[in-house]
Amino acid sequence: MASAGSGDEKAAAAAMITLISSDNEKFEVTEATATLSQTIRHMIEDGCTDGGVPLPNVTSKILARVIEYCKKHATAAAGEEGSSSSFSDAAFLEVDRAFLEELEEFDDAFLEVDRATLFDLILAANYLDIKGLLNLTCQKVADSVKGKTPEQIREMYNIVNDLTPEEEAEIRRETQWAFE
Amino acid sequence: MASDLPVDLLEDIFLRLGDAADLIRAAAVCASFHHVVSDGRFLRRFRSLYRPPVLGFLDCRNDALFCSFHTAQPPRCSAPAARAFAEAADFAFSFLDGDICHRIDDVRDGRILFSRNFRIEDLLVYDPLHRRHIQIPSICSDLDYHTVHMVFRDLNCLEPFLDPATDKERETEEEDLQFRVICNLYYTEKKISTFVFHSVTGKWQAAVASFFIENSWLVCPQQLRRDYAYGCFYWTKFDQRVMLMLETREMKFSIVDLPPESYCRHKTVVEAVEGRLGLLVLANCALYIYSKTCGDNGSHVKDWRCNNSIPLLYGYKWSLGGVAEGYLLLRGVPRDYDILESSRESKEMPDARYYTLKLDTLLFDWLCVSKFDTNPDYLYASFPPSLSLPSL
Repeated sequence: MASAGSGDEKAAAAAMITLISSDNEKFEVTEATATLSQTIRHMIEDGCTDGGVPLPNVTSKILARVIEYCKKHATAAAGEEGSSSSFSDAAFLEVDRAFLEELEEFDDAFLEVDRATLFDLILAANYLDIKGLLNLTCQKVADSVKGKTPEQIREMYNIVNDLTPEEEAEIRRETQWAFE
Repeated sequence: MASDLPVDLLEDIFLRLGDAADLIRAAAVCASFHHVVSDGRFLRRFRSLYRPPVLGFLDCRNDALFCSFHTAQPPRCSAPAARAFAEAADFAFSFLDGDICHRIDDVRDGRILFSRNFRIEDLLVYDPLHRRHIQIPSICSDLDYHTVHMVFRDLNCLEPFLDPATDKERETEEEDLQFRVICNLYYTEKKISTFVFHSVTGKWQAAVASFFIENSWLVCPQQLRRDYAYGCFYWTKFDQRVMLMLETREMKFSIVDLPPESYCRHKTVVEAVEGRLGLLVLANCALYIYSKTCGDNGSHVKDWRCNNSIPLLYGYKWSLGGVAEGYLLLRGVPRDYDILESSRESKEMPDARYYTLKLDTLLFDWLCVSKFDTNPDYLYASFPPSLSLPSL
């Protein structure tokens, strides 16, 4: 029974899913990669992925990046499962650690994108419900805002100040200490 | 672009800004950011993730009108917020309208509990930042004549204090405005009774009919130190080998043994790490840290473990102040200074150095310098004005 089960899992991991971006580009990915997205996982469970999964909210440029992230992290997730169930040697822990470090490096490099792409990634991660990616990208934005003035934040993210002068003066008056 | 993000994603990002100043600056970027940060539901989520910073301490003189708020000073990072808080809040207690005879009994969760003339008929709760106060009805208002007679017969003194809100109780605006006042009544016949006031019902309820004590030191609570940790209140005294404990869920008193080394030492009960009960004992320029598992089943002396000791700055005489939001206030005065003598000769009091000890990391942080005062100090932690929600 056990071997049959794992055989099925292997078959599932090898199964391919087609994702279709808003600009009609097709991406073939393994199910293991695609199911990092809870949204796609649910579609697979509901059996509505035949003929490809249209993602009208995600452009091909962003989808390519998202898939890059998912591929890396799907391998990581598979590696973790393998090591926790079958191995517990110090040697394997060492391998795990090296792998986690590598993953962190990957994440850091992955976030080296312009602001517009970063926001598109946040929206895509939110729409596709990929928790890890959403965490990563939101944290990146939060870190970039820390210690900055409102002017710097506006400039950084192209935000138009739509507060009326009265509103702004009111906010500043109440919170002057945070601007010193 | 960024301002077009859906509200829940903006919230997700802003909740990662642990520093109140960062959050306030982000709120000034545009209207949608400001809208997100000013929302009460968002602020409650923020509060559930981060503890409010220590902004200073309130020294409690015999009369509330002579109390003052001492703000955190640079280089402590909460100093600017503390200054703004002190300017916005009313620590002159203007609602008392100059009426003397009010005493501060407790400070907690942004509320101050006052009693007038030491009488339980005259309790009130004040939110100094939002300048709202609530008069607590007399404990007698819901009791019949016979019970009132029983309550006040042989009554030695009473001790009202605020019961802390749990995080779970602070999820909605309604819950934010709710509070409980506990009042211990100490009788000359070595007995304690306890009443609880719920702001929701607006009524007092008898919680402990009578807990008989063999220990005569418990008759006079003014000389006791009261601490709160993990759902229980603890009363300790300098020269006692046991402490009184009140479990607030079931409202049950018990007596708990203390480690013998804490006898004739100043001490405070705190929340230690991993859910353990902590005891900090002040001795010879060091703080000794004891801990034991919580609960009254472990009330034996041998359960206490001395985990650690931390040296205190030499050349100072140290004393323990209040505890708030995971910090303990410590006060040091120059060792060669004779406090009794100088107060007799009405010399100027020396400068005392105030530090806080973070109870989970055991790290000291500078708080401020202030004139020495023998009165109890309530450590005050709060979010700065624009991020703080009304508590009454």
